[in-house]
This record gives sequence, C-alpha cells and structure tokens, in this order.
Amino acid sequence: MLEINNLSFSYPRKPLLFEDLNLALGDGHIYGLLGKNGAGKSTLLKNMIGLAFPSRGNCLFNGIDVSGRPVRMLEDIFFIAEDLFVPSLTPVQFLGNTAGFYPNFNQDSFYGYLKALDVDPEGQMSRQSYGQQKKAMIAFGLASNASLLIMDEPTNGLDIPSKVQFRKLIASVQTESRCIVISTHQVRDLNSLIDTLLVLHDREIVVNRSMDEITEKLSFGIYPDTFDLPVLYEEENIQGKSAILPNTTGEFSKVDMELLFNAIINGNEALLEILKAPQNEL
Amino acid sequence: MNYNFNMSRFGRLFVKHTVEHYKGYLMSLAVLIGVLVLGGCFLVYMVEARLDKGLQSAFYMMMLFLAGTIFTSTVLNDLGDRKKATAWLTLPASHFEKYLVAWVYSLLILLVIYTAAFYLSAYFVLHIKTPNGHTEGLFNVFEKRTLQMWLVYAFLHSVAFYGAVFYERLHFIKTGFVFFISLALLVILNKIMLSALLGRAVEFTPPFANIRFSGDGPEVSLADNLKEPYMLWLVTVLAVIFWIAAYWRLKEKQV
Repeated sequence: MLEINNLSFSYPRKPLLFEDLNLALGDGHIYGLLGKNGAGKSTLLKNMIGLAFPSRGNCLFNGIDVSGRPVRMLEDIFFIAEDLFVPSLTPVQFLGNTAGFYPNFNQDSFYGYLKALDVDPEGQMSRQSYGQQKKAMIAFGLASNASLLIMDEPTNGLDIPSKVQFRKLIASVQTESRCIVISTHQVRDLNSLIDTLLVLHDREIVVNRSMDEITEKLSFGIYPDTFDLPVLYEEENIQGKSAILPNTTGEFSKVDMELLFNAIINGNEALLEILKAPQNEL
Repeated sequence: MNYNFNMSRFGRLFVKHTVEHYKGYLMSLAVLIGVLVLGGCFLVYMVEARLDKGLQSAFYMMMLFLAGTIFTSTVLNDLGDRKKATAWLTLPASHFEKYLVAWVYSLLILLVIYTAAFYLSAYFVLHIKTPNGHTEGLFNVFEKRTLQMWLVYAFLHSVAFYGAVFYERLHFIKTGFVFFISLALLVILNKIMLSALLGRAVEFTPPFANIRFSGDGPEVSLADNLKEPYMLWLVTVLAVIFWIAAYWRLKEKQV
C-alpha cells in the first residue's frame, strides 16, 4: 500500500533527518511508529502524505507519488495531526461540508463513533477541549473509510476512558484492506492494539517487525534476580527486574513495549541483531 | 473523473470555504463600508470637496487597490498556520480547485462586493449633504478608464496573491515592502538604461512613462495611442505570470 524508497530528508539548513530510509506498509495491519522526541516521527508521517517532500527518494501510495498530492490519493488517506485544526462548526456541520470529499464516507458510522467517544454532535468543535476536538476528528477519520489512516499522537489529550474506547474502535474498524499507522511516544497506549512495531532511531527504521515475530524471538518477564539468565536488557522496578531475554523455549510472553523501546534506543546491539535476524536463524 | 478540475468538487470546496469563512468576510465588509462612509464624510464635511464623478472614480480606485490587496493577502492565511495548512492541503481537492476558490473570492467576488459597497456608501454620502439642493450623480463603473484601472488592479492582485502563497505571515507588509523596493530598483535601472541608450542623462522615470532630460532639455513622451496599450499589455502579462507563479508555488507548499 505504502512504499518508501531510499528516502532522505532534511529541513533547510539542518542535518539529514532520514537517510536512504526504506519501508513498506501493507494492507490489513496496524503499525505502531515509535521514536524519541525529535527522531522525526511526525516528519516521516508528513512525507508519507505529501506534506513534506524528500530531498532524495520517494514515497508511493498504491504506486502514486504522494508529493504531488493528487486527489485520488487524498481521497483514500486520512491524516490526524498531533496539533489539529477544527473549524468553528459542529461535527454535524463539518460532516455536511467535508464528508462529500471522501467517496467512501459512512455517515451512520460517524454518528456511531461520536457516540462511542462521547462527543456532542451539536457542540461547536472550536469551543470544545483539545481532547474532544481530537475525538471528533478521529471519528471523522474512521468514518471516512480511507484505506490508509495515519494518526500522529492520537491519544494525546484523551482521558483514560477515551483511550480505552479509542483502542476498541481502532480494533473494530480494522479490515484486510485497511492500513493504520499510529505514531506515539506513549508506548503503553499501543499495548494490545498494534500488530507491527516500527522504531525510528538515528535516521532509520531500526525495527520493523510484527508483534508475533517479536514474541517468537524475545521473551519478556519480571524476575527477582537475573544473575544466571542470558539477559539482553533489564530495568529495575519495584517488583524486581524487568528483563528481555532471547526466546529459547518458544513460549510466548506479553511484549513490554516500554522496555523494548528503551532497549532499542539505548543502542542494545545484541537485541537488535536478534530482531533483525531472519526467522530461520533462530 | 477529471482529477485536476471537477465542477461538483469545486462547488463543494467553494461552499466549504464560504461556510468556514463567511463570518470573517461579513465583518470585513462592515469595516469596508465604515471606512468608505467615513472617508466620504471626511471629504464632504472636513475638506468640503465636491464629490464629482472624477473624485468618486479616484476614490473608488484608491480604496480598491488598498482593500483588495489587503484582502487578497489574507485569503490564503490558512497556509501560514501549520494546523490549518495541514487540513487544507490534505483535503481531497486538487491544487487547482483550491487555488481557484481563493482566486475567485479575492478577485471576482471582491470586485463585485466592493463595487456594490462603494455605490451604497457613495449614494449615502452624496445624499447627506446636498448644497443648493444639487446632488452629484454617481460615476459609471463601466467607463473605459475604470475598466483599464481594473487591469491595473488585476496586476496588484496577482502580486498580493503570490505574496499570500509565498510568505507564511505578515503577507501584506512583506509583499508591499518587496513590491515597492522592486519598483524603486526598476525606476533606477530604467534611468541608467535610458541614459545609456540616449547618450544623455535623463530624470528618474518608470518604464513606458515620459522621458525628461536632465537640465533644460525637452520632455519626450511616447505617443498616447501607443503608451496606453503598452502599459495595459504589460500589466496583463505580468498579472498572468504572477498568477501562474502563485499556482506552482502552492503546489510546492510544504508544512
């Protein structure tokens, strides 16, 4: 669905943010894009939808170069920015003058999502809280039925019940023909939601693995002591030591996203080697 | 389906733009009428000027140049705001359709609304003070001279429109600054070139205007029947160039 080929990007008079970055995103997946502050997550998303142009390489959506922002591409992509703009309209009014631009928009679904996220369809969006504005736009984005839904920090500003509802909604709208990309620094919000993890670090995608592959290769657990264990990465906490080990038993454990992310950005080469290794090398 | 221009999509975009901006536009219109009435009253009461058709026509053009370029500089304000620009650029409509909505609003609709507002204000001002029971008639906006001035306005619009796309903030001030600096440089360059061509020092003069030699030399001018078409062709061609440049600049806009 989305293909990034040898993409290099830098802002004017700034060093390269990405260099020869390659990435392919397929239908039927929910990708979680993680990275430190300033790693370039938002910029990568902007490159994906043609809001920023690469200095080298390209980004193709179903074979179309996104930098031209053609209508047939925009009709099938919905982007929810971290800092989003809402006009001085109610969700119902916004629906009336914007839904028509999206050929697959479903009005009933829109009202359903608004209800699920507890957003007043008759309340003026610009006067609502940031969280309510975000939820209204998430509802609109989901109802657009765009094949590619890109969300930059969608859970920022959402209260805890709304985050739960958001996860439920995302899981419920996912289909075989849809691709969802969620960028966030709140890694816990992605727990049990994403099926593929992307980690952007040091100008490249250092991890692009499905959650199943990760659990096949790595084992996560909390141990009172890790003295004689082949620990790849560990952090002490109140319960003992949270650790990542190579999965040698074939048993699946629940991925501790925060621990994994910390291990990766701390440059844990051994762990990265295991993640990058093809399946049959284990 | 034509992806560059589709009438139904353009209509939707036009309606969306109107619904989201009409409050601001109505307020701007009220301010414009206020300025026109106040300006007219100032001329009638303070200066005690006779608002004949010539003065009306001059006042009409001066205010059109000012109000029109200010409005044009703001019509693409959304592009200067990262949040609004993201929403605007990712809306499924072509660049051409988005460009056209802003162009139609800032040139055609503005011209119609401004002219109506001017007539309304002029009618009011002309009837509040009628010396000896005599009321001045309203000037005809379709006179040849006014139509020619519309072409000059089209040129100023194209410059302001390009500035609206090019700059991210303070569009009007930055565009005006660059415009007047460029104009000054053009006048200086014109003097240097004319002096070199004619072998005599000439006074500062813009292109296509009369040539005056320094000292007691004669004043030379192009024949009027030649000068006017040259000027009109020049501003028309320049307007088209700036409109096209603005379109390509819009296509290359990044957030």
